[in-house]
Amino acid sequence: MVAIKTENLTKTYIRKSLFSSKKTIALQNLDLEIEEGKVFGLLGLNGSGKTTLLKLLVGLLFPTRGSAYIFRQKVPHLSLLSRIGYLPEFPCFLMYLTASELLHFYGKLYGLSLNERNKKVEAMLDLVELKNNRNDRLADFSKGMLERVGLAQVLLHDPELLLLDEPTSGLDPLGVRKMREIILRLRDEGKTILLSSHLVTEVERVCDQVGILHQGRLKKIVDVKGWEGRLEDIFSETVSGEG
Amino acid sequence: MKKIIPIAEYTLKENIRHKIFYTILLFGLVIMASSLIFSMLSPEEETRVILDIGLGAIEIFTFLSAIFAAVGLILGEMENKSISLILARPVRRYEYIWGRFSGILSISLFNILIMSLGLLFLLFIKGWEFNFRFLLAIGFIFLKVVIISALAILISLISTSAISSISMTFFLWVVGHVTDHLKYLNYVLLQKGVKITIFLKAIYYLLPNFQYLNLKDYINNPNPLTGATIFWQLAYSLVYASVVTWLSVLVFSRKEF
Repeated sequence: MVAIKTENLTKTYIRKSLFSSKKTIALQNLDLEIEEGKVFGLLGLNGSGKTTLLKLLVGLLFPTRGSAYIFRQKVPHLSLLSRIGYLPEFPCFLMYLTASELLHFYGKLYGLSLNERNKKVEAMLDLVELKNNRNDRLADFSKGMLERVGLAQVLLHDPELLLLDEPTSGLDPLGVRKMREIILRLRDEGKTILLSSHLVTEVERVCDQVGILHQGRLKKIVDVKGWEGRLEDIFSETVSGEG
Repeated sequence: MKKIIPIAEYTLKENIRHKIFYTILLFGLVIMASSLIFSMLSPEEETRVILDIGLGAIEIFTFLSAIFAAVGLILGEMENKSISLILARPVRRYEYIWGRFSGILSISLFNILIMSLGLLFLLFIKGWEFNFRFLLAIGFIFLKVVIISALAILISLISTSAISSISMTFFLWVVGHVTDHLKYLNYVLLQKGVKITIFLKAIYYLLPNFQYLNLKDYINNPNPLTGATIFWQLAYSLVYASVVTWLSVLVFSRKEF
């Protein structure tokens, strides 16, 4: 079964100033299919269109052309958002709230009852090892702690599809390892994960399949059998035009 | 619809935890207390001076706190992108705007309540006899804040910076108190042969008319206030604020984050 499908998906940003407007094509004619239960990595340099694709899937951006489907429903669709967990690259929270209050607030937005929220918030804080900081304000958290809160909010409602934008950025080596373990555990549970990164080694360790994006175009899709330990070479060749 | 309440709740929490909220409230109470000094200047009208300064302080400081909430927090949330973590959940765009709007109104109501109690305390120690119009005046200050909050949200969605949003909202607040002068301007221009009546009428109806809601000027006025007048003032405020808020929803629905 296909979890994510895009057809000719294109996004152009238009920046208007007083006397001119500048067009930037962030994503161009993207045709992509991602199977359910797979971990799919989007690999690309900065500005290759990875974040744009994730934002289009979650409805924060609107496509200029083409369409995207998640679980066969056209995006954006409100009911789909209950089945998706989204982690932006630099998650920015409501900093005056405590970790527990923030998760409760997000839980309310999913329509979870107080009982459900109590259980899930505790479980998530335990998972990301922030149980002792539950009543601390997010404004007092370190960057790594905020990334962990980011992960907790993604998993709060037990989503079927996870969209993770550079999930290891800002994490220390132990945090990166923990994130990797969680991603692999979620894959074993049958979740579909689409993650973006420009760190080849991280993608290589957790993904079943990788799509290489370059200048808004999908240049190549390779699976774990196809790269055989040389994903970095394949990536370099592809983005430098030799692939 | 269910998401409006949690969004309103967090707006309230957000405001209450900001130092600026207490600073504004404190300033309001200090100005109100200072009316005791000014009232000594006219011993025969002590309570009137306290009432005028007090109601003025309630209006200005509630307006300031509403502007801060509408412009500072919504624009801030869009700039720091924390809004994306709200909209990536099953929240309709209109629920976000109406939730924010309701939260701002709750904080304004809280502000008005605290300051009104402070004012009543000052009035009673000076032997003031309670007048029902006091409650109406407070209610109509709230209605003005309802309108300006709706406008501040719309402006913060259109504008690109907090400074321009605040300036524009201030401008509308001031202009909204003198819209009645447009009628006189039209009269003067007609005398001089300049016919721009339609244009002036359009501006007159588009701009908020705060003078229409200035009940605080009539507390000691002996003329009776009819139920019909109050009804139309109430209807005007609610319809104006609703239309502006739905306009905000329209603008917000097209925004990308």
